Amino acid sequence: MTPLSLFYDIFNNIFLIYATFLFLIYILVAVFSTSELASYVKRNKHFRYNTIRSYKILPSISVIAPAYNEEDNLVENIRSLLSLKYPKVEVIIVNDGSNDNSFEKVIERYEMVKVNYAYNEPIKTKKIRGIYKSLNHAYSNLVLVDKENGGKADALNAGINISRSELFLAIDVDCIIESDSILRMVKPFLEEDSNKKVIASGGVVRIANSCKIEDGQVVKVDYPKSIWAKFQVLEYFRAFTLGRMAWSKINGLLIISGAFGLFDKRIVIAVNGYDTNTVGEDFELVVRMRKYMHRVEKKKYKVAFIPDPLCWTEVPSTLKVLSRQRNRWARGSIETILKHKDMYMNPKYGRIGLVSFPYWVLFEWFAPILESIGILYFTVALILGMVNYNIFLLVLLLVFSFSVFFSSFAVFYETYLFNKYKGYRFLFKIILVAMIELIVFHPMNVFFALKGNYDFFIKGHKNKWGVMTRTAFDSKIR
Amino acid sequence: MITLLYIKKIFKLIIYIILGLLVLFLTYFFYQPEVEFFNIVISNPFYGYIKNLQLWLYLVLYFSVISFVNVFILFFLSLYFNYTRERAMNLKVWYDRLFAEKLTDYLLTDKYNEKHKKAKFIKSIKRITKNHIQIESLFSVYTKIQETLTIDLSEKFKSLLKEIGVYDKQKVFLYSNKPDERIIAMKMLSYLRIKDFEDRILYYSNSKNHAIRTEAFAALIRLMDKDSNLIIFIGEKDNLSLLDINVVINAVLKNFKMYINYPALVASPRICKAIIGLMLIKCRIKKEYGHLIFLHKHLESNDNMLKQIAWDCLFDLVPEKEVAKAVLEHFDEEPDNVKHLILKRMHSIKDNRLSGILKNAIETQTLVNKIEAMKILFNNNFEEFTEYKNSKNPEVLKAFKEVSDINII
Repeated sequence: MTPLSLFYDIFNNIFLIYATFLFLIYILVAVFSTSELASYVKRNKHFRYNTIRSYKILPSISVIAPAYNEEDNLVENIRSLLSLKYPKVEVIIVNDGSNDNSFEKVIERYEMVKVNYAYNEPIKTKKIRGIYKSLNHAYSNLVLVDKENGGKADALNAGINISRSELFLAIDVDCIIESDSILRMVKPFLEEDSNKKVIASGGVVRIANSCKIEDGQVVKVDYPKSIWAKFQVLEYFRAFTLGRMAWSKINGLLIISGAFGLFDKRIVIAVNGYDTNTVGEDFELVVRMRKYMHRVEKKKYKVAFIPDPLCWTEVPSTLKVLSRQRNRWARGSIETILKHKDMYMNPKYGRIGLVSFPYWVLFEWFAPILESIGILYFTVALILGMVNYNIFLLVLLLVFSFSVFFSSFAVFYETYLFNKYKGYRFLFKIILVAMIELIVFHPMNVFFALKGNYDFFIKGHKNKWGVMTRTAFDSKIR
Repeated sequence: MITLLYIKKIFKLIIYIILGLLVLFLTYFFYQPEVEFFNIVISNPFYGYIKNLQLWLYLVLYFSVISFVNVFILFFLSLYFNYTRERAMNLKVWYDRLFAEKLTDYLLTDKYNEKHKKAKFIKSIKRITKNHIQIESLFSVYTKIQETLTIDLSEKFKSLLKEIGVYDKQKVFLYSNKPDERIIAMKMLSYLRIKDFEDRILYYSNSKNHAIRTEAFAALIRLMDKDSNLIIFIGEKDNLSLLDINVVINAVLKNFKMYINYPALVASPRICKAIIGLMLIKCRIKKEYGHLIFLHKHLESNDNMLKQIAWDCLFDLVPEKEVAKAVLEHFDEEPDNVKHLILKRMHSIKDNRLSGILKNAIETQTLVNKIEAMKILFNNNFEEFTEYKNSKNPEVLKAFKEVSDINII
C-alpha cells in the first residue's frame, strides 16, 4: 500500500464515519421531534389558553423589546405588544441610542414624559439617559427606556434591570407576535413541578416576508417572493419544527431564539444577564443559564420549547444581508463554544456536556469546515483520477434524496399540525425549493459560515454585528 | 373497554413491527436474485444491476430509493391533510354553528315542547349525528353552552342524547386512547352529572398528561355531591403544579360549590391543598375562616408560595388590628418578595403601629420595597414622606423621586 493510497483510505473513512453519524443524527431528530410534537399536540389540543387569563395565581411578565433605528415600525409594533393577552404584563421598550426619529415618535404617540423611575443595576449597562411613562392611563403598563447605544444584549440587560416582573419575554421589536403567545409561552412555567424548574421557554419563529399584516397581526400567510426568503422558510421549518423539538425532547436545547424567548429573571440576573461581548448572545445566555443550574443551584431544570408558530419576523431577502447574518451566527456560535469549552464531553453537565455541546461543536461548527475540506479533497482526487464515479454518484444520490426527504418531513409536520401555508401550489413550490436548496442555498451557507470562521480567527472580528437592513413592514401594516 | 384499548394498542404495535420487518425483508429481497416464499419463487427484477454492487453501496442505493419514495408519500400526505384539515375545519365550524343554534333552541326555549315538534327535532338531529366529527361537535357545543350558563341543562340534554342514540358514545370517548376525546367525555359526563364513571375520571386525575389531569380535576369537582369530597382527591398522590391549582380553584368557584370543607383543606399538610383552601376562602371572602391562617401557622411556612398566599388572605379576611399585629411580628423575618406583598397590601391599613415598619422598609429594605413603603407614606403621611427629600441614601432618594414623580403626574 502506497502512502498516497493509505492517506486516501484514511480520509475516505473519516468522511464516511462523519457522514454516517450525521445521517443517524438526522434520523434521530426526525424520531424525537415526531414523539415530542405528538405529545405536545395531545396535551394541548383541548386546552383553552384564554382561561389562563382568569387564573388567580400567575407570574408577572415584562416584555422587553430593544429598538435601534426602528422609526418605520416602532409605534405600530408597540401597539401590537400592548394588545398581548396576559393579565400581569408590562412592556419595556429600550431605545438603544437610535439616531432616527423613532424615540420622538413613540413619546408623541403614547403621550410619554420623563420620570424618575427607580432601578438598580445588578447587570452593568451603558448609561441610561431617561425613563418615560405615559400620561395616558391606557398605557400605564408601558415603559420607555432611553439609553446610550450598546447593542442588543446591552439593551436587553437594561430592560432586565428596569423590569419588576418575575419573568421576562425578550423579543425583537420588529417581530409580529401572536396575541395569545404569552399565554402559550407561560404554560410550561405553570406546569413545572417541584422536581423540575423551568428556566426558559422558547417559541417557533416564522417568516413574515410577503405575509399580509393588519393591526399588528399576521392575517394572511404567503410564501415569500424572494428566493432567499423561500429557502429560509424551509430552513426555519427544519430548524424549529424538527431540530428544536427533538432537542427539547431530551431537554438538550441550547438555543432560544433572540427574537422570542421567555426567561426566569432571577436566574438571568444570577448569571449576570446577556453577554455584551458576543454576537450570539441568545445562544450564550442559555448555555450560561444551564451551566449555572448544574454548578450553582444543582437542581433539575428544563428549557421548554413551544412548537406553535407564535412570532413572525422578516428575514434577509438579499444575499448581502443574508451573508452578514450567517457570518454573525457563525461567529456567535464559535465564541460561545470556545467560552464554554469546559462543558465539552464533561459528564458534570449531564446530557448537555455529553450530547448537546459535542453535537454543536462537531456538527454545527465543524460541519462547514469539514464540508469545505471534503470538496477540496474531492477536487484533488478528481484531478488525480482517484474518483470512482459509480460510488460518487450513488452517494450523491443518497445525500440528495435524504436531504429532500428530511425537508419534506418538516413540511409535512408544518402542514399537518399548523397548516399556516395553504394550497397545493405552496407544497409544489417548497418541494422544488428543497430540491434546489442543496445546490444553491446550502453551498452559500457553507461559504458564509467559513467566512465567519475566517473573520473570527484571522480578522479578529469577534463582536461586529454588521447592518441588518430590513424592508420594513410599513407598507403592510395598517 | 380497557381490554379493547389494549387490543388497539397491541394491534398498532403489530402494524409497526410488520412495517419494520417489511423494510428489512425488502432490504434482503432486493439483494438476492430470487426469494422462495411458501414454495412461491419471487425473482428480483433489479438483480442485474444490484449484483455488481458491494453491500454498503447497495444499502446506499436502497436508502436513496426509500428516501425518494418517502418524499412522494409525504408530499401526497401533506396535500391530503391540507385538504382534509381545511374541509374538517369548515365542517366543524358549520356543525358548531348548526348545533349551537339547534341546542340553544332546544335547551333554552319552549320551541320543541309539543310532542310532534320534538319528534321532528330529534329526527333532524339524528340525521346529523352519524359520524365522529358530528358527535364531537355536538358534545363540544353542549359543553360550551353549559360552561357559559349556570343553569343546569343536564336532564334535558341527557334525554336528547338517549333519543338520538349517542348517549353511550360518551363512554367510548372516555375510554378512547386519544386524550382530546377523553377530555371532551369528562366534560360531558360531569356537566350531565353522570356519576357512573367517577372511578375512571379519578384514575385520570393521576395522569401524567396535564390536559387530562386538569380536566379530570374540573370534572370531579363538577360531579361532587358532597362538596366536602374535594379534600379527598386533590393532590393526594402528586404535588400539584400551579396550573392544576388554578384549574381546581376556578372549577370550584365556577361551579358554585358551597359546602367545601375549608378547615380541612387549609389544615392539610399537603402544601398544594392548603394553597387551594386559602385561595378559596379568599375568593369567597370567608372571613370566618381567617383565623385558620394563624392556627395552622401558614405565615411561618417554609414554602414561599404558601406564605405569600397566606399573607394575601390575611389582608382580605382578618380585621385590620390583627393584620397589623401579624405584620409587626413577622415582617423582619420574611423574604423580600413576601415583604413586597405585605407592603403592597398595607396601603389599606391605617394603623400607627406600622410606621416603624415603613421606616425600616425605607431605610433597610430592597429598592422595590422602599418604593412600596414610600407610596404608603405618600398617601397616608405626606409630611413624613417629604422628610426623605434630602436623604443621603441614594436608593431612598431614587424611591422618593419615583413615588413623587409618578404620583404627582
